[in-house]
Amino acid sequence: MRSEAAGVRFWGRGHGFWEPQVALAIMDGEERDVTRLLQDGAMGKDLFPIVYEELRALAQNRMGGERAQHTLQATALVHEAYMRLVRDRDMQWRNRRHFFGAAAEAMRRVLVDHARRVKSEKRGGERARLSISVGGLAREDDPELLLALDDAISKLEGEDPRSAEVARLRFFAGLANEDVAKALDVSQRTVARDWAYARARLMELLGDEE
Amino acid sequence: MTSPPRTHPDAPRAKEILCDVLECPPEERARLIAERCSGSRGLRARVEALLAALGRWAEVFGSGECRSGD
Repeated sequence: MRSEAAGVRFWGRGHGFWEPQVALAIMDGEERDVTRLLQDGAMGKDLFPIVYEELRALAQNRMGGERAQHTLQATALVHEAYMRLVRDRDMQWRNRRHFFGAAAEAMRRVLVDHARRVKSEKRGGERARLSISVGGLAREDDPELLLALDDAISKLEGEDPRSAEVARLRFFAGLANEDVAKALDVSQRTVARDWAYARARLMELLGDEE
Repeated sequence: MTSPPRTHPDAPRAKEILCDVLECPPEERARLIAERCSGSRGLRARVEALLAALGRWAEVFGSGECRSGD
């Protein structure tokens, strides 16, 4: 846990933590350089499946290797995916933001799939081996809460799309306000305000089930 | 407790006031809410409900800040 948190800290400040490595993703038998995709502005449908597959594989690999009851940090997985996929560690934010936009959605899908599986296993009497927590939440290990939160964020999107986007980037990509601001090209004050409103509305939308 | 409707008519103003209130020192918040919501009990109730929900979020989930020290 501590080393994962340290990874996030290093990432937030820029350098040093990343190991040099060639990062090529294989999609449909074709090599595609994620760095080039980001620099070319070819996002969305091109980038998403690569990032999703990387995150899914990372999570699956960790689940097979970690001890029972260990909790993976979604934030750490996203940043590990970045390290593995992006060649240019000093990439400008205007390009990196596309990666984290895709990564937030990819991580969300990995988490939702995982939460559904854990729920299903619990119903079947088996004990879940491993859980994944999302960034900044004190509550962990609760797949029903994660699914409810995902549903609440979808509802918030219908009311206030930018607040929902801030919540997604905070939870699922693990970005701090400063980096969310860069990703959305708005001020940090705007992000702080959206994040405060998002938390209030999400709490209401969760229906005070806690 | 049930959630307000998705298209709550006061939503944009309530968000703006909520965020302005949060940027104020705690001792000035009550005065600011009264001032900004003057003449609209519904708006005031909405802002106060959001503030209360934010407080509950902190109780349940923590402050909302990343544990990595952002």
